[in-house]
Amino acid sequence: MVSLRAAALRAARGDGGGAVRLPPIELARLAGGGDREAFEELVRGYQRRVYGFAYQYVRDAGEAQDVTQEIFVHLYRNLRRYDAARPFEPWFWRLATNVCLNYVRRRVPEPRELPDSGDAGGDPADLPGESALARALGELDRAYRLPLILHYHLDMSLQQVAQTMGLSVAAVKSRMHRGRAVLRRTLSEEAG
Amino acid sequence: MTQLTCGQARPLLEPYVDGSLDGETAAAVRSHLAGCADCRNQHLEAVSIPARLRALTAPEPPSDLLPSVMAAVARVRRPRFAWGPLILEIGLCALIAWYLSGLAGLSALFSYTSGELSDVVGWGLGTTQLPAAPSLDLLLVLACLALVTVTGYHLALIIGATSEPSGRRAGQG
Repeated sequence: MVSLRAAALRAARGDGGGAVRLPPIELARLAGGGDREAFEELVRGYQRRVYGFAYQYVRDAGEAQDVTQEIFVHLYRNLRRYDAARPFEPWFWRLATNVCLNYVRRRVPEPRELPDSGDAGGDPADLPGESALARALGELDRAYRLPLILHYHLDMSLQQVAQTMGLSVAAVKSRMHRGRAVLRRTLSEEAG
Repeated sequence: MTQLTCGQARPLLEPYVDGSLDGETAAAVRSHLAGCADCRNQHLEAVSIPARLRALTAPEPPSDLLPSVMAAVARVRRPRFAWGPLILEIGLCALIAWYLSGLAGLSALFSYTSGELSDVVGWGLGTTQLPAAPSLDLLLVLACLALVTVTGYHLALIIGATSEPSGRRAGQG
């Protein structure tokens, strides 16, 4: 038997079969009711941004995949608690941020290998010109790193960052200024 | 206008770049920058950082990410299922509590149980007849057995719900 929700989802996809037309809030509502298909669409729609966010935070492709998976599993488990009367994105990114922070707290620090000059792999942190900033961002205190990633990498407004972090806009601005000042000093010292 | 030292000007560079300073402070920073080459270099760095942060790239998510997430999710039991048996557990506890009816009930049960135990021991030794069990006691024993069973099931559900798969290895397994 075809469920009404699944039928609505298929109808919303249109002829192409791949383009999601239901807004995330609607997908979240359906997925919260147990619709796996809706949840899959939600993951499909967010996986790139979530992976990018995780990568910027942990600076390791394998760990970013772990974090991304953990974020979506937490999302699945918590969707029933989501209040569809509120905007989805701040709620979701707050959850993603908490999962990311918990992951980093749990992980055992491993000694980092120096980048192999013969390896032209896809790690952007190894690209010339970008590596210093990426490295400095990775070493930045997480209180400063998080708002910078949310605002500059995920393109969130200051208001959204504030909602996600549970801070005032003024506090977010202050943290971003301090974070950027630390990055500036680090880059200047490395250049000098 | 206030004359700033380098130590005073540099923490103001980021808010200056964002235009968050009041007019007087911004003018003081501008004036300091006009006469300090080191701080001008720092200012250039401060101006470039937001654009460079935006330009930081991340690799594409791996192609097996979606299947591994869905596989991990398929093994997740939602906590809501773990709360169902709680109602039954509360009901059984209420029944037992009602039966025991406080301290008086408890001491009565103790003397009852010890008397019955001695009867059972005597029956085992062949000295007494085994008395018939009161129907309410049988009900209590059944309720206790049901409570143990339901609690065990409940615990299994809670353990299953909390031991969520994590990491890509879980997704690949």
